[in-house]
Amino acid sequence: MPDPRPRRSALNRPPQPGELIQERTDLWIQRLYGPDRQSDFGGKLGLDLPEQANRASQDTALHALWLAPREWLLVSDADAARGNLAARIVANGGALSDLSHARTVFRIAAGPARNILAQGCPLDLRPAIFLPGHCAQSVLASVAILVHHLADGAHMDIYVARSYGQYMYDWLNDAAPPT
Amino acid sequence: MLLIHCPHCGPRAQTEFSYGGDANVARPPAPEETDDRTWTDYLYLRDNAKGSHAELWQHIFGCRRWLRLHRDVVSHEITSCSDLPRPRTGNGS
Repeated sequence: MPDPRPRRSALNRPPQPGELIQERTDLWIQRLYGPDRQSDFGGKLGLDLPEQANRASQDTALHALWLAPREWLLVSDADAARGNLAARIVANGGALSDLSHARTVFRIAAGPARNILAQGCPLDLRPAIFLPGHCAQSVLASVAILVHHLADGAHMDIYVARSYGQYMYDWLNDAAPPT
Repeated sequence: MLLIHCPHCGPRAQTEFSYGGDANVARPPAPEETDDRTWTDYLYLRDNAKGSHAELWQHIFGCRRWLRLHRDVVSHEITSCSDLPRPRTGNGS
């Protein structure tokens, strides 16, 4: 059963509107494990599941981010986009882990995000390499992160374990250009 | 710093990986029947040969897969890197 209570911010002081680093809340986040051998798993679910590594789906209402072979992260902020998706995934031999309460997501404008991440993350984030619609898992200041360059090219979302949310927020703000 | 070409994620920095030891160490098939010297050798004793070395790495900050790669311990050149075959399911024997 989904928890009906609204989720609290992971931060002591949530960012104000207009600040560079924003926290996204009330997201539905699931780790999807596909069956070992089944072609067109995404097609049977009506989902755009990227087969290519480090790619995200184009569906903006329900993002599917490639994590590993036959593993994806499903992210949605709209109830309507998922419907009975969880039941259909299980019926088709897949499995879901609910990470909605386990992740904190920060949204940063793409330009500043490159410079901020470059100060502590070994990923190649140059604009010619890390394109809109790409995603990558890596490490930032000793914390595992997932970076998603949104398809519109304007923003990046950074996923971290919720318990590291405050630490990561402080680190990102320290690395951000002074305002 | 090594640049490891993960067969799934592409070229990534060594800091995303965790070293998993020599890839060619074989566990004695029946530990309860193995004498202490053989077991100690299995646990602790490793060759330290100069040249190419088969080793295990896990891409812990990426796809989390275990990889098997060959690295020259003198030049650090990595000549191959592949996904570790998944263990067969069943009773394990």
